[in-house]
Amino acid sequence: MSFYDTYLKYKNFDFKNFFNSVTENKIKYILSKERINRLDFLSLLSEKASGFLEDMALKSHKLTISNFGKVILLFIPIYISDYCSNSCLYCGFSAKNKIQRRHLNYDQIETEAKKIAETGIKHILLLTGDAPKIATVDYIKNSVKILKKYFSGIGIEIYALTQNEYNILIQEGVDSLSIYQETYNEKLYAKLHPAGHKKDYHFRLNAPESACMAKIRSVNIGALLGLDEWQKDAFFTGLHADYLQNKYMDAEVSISLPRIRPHAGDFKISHQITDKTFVQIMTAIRIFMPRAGITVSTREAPEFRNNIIKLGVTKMSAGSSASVGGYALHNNDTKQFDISDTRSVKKMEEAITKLNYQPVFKDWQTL
Amino acid sequence: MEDILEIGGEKLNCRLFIGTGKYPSDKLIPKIITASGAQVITVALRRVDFSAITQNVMQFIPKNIRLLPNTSGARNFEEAVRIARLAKAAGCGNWIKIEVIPDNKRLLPDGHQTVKATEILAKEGFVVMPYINPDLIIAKQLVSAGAASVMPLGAPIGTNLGLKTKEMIKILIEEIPLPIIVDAGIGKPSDACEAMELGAAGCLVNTAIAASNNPVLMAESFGKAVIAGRKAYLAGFATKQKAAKASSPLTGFLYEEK
Amino acid sequence: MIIKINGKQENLTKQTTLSELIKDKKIDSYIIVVEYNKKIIPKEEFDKIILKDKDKLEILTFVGGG
Repeated sequence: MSFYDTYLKYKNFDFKNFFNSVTENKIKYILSKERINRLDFLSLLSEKASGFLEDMALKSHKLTISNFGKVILLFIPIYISDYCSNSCLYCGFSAKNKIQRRHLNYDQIETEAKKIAETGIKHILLLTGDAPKIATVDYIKNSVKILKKYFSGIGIEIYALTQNEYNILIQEGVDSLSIYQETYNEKLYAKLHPAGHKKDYHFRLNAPESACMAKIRSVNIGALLGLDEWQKDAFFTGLHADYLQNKYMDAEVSISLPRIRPHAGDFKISHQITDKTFVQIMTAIRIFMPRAGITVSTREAPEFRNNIIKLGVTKMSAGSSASVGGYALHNNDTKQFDISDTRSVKKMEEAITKLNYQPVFKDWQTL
Repeated sequence: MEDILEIGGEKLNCRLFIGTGKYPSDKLIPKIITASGAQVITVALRRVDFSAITQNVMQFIPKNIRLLPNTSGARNFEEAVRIARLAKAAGCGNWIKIEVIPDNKRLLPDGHQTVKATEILAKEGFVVMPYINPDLIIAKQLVSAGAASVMPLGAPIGTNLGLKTKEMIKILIEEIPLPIIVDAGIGKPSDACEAMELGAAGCLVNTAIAASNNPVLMAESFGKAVIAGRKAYLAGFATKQKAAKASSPLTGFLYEEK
Repeated sequence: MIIKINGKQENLTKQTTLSELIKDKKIDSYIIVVEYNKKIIPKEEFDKIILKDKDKLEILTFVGGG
């Protein structure tokens, strides 16, 4: 049994007909329930539910406070290599894009790490492109060893690995994995990922589970919103997170809500995600999974990020650069995507405090 | 509308299980069965007392009633397994309610030993119904061990306190893909009704019926309460209406002109 | 010949089969299960078991319980 079995159950589900059958009373009923089931969750992604955004937000707000308190965990990404053998149509790092590639050596990583550590943030997210022969597991492992000197929590957002490979990195000190399916739509996935290691839909889909089996502390999954009809990808993301949470009770499951952003290349975004839709997805996920972390990156604009802090977010990146060597080495020419919220960590801290929330720089340290 | 509870391949119409202990006279048992509508009845295994042979509880239980022997008296998994095998050998089918109670003061079950016994007996082909504290982690282990249902306690045995563990039972109902049958602690028909409204698959009631001034009337009342609660659960509850709100403090920003 | 039945010692004066013993105890109408030296004995074999010195018997039946 893997999540693919759950996916197959709903692959040919008649979403259109289901959404048409959702009534206002149904939404009211769902919002009055203590816990909701899968189809309730799907109902909250319907057009009808979009008329209940304030009610959904209220409920999401209450659930978030009672499960997490008024705190936002801050983390910062570090890109150490942007060589990539994939050619994902929507990504700035695609092998097809003729960009200047960078691959930091260990000294450079240390320089970047020192610079980032000055912000006071203790949780770092290490990112690479998908080039296992260049950014090898061994290279990543050695990088983790360096980052450990400066940070108490180390996450990775790299290409999909096997359970054994995850185990190696976890042993070295990695405590969380971020990996996005991009789209759960198997057909569309094949179209968008024509080449490279990432082409394998199943291997990617099973990666979070492999990490859970390797006893990772936390997994963060998501879909790149905008690739497919958002209702479907949001629904499958929720089901996937729920599947992991039920099966691996010792892992902390989080969901990221990346909206597709402009980047190098000429991919056209087929499904625009408005702010309202974003809020609808986020609050629906919170109501479905009261204990799941929700991560929002600097892809989102400052004002919007401020506004959604109360609606269910638990983790945010801050002061980010999406370029290899973007902190101390001053490379900002090729980014994976355009950052929208360019505020410094200090500014972010102030904004969160102003909302009467507490910014958290260090959530835990593995001993 | 047909609403069947299926356990161990058996299809049951009645979701009330009854116990046979503590009655003023075992002769009441057939009337209790008729009044409650119960199709499953629990019994215990004991040494025959040669000095005081009177009647045997079995002679009062109609043939079409499914027997659910319990392992009362077991203090660890070995004893529970032994009692289960003996009960099966007595020729009363392969259903077994695992009860492992090492605590004579409070009569609380040992979840760890219960999981061990369940694992062994399920492999031998028993339909295993373990009695536990409503503990999700133990319940999940019971699912893996091959249990046919999970029987969480509503309150300590014999206390008639009602659904004191309600929130924990709700979690089991949500998370466990097996019938949840609330056992122990149910003191009043309204407690049984409440358990059913929450989505429990059934209730097991003994003391509350047996120790009533009129056990037959009480049995009937429990039978009806379980049906009422079940139907309410199936019907789905109406929404609690909150006062209308005029402003949108949390999402107002989405509608502001930019 | 001394045997133990349900934890109590009993003296048997003549050779007895398990089914004879059950008859003597007037419990043949009961639904019972017999554990003979820790082994469960099917009813069909009650005739074949001839009790011997130091045997241990547990004779069990169903009683009311919850």
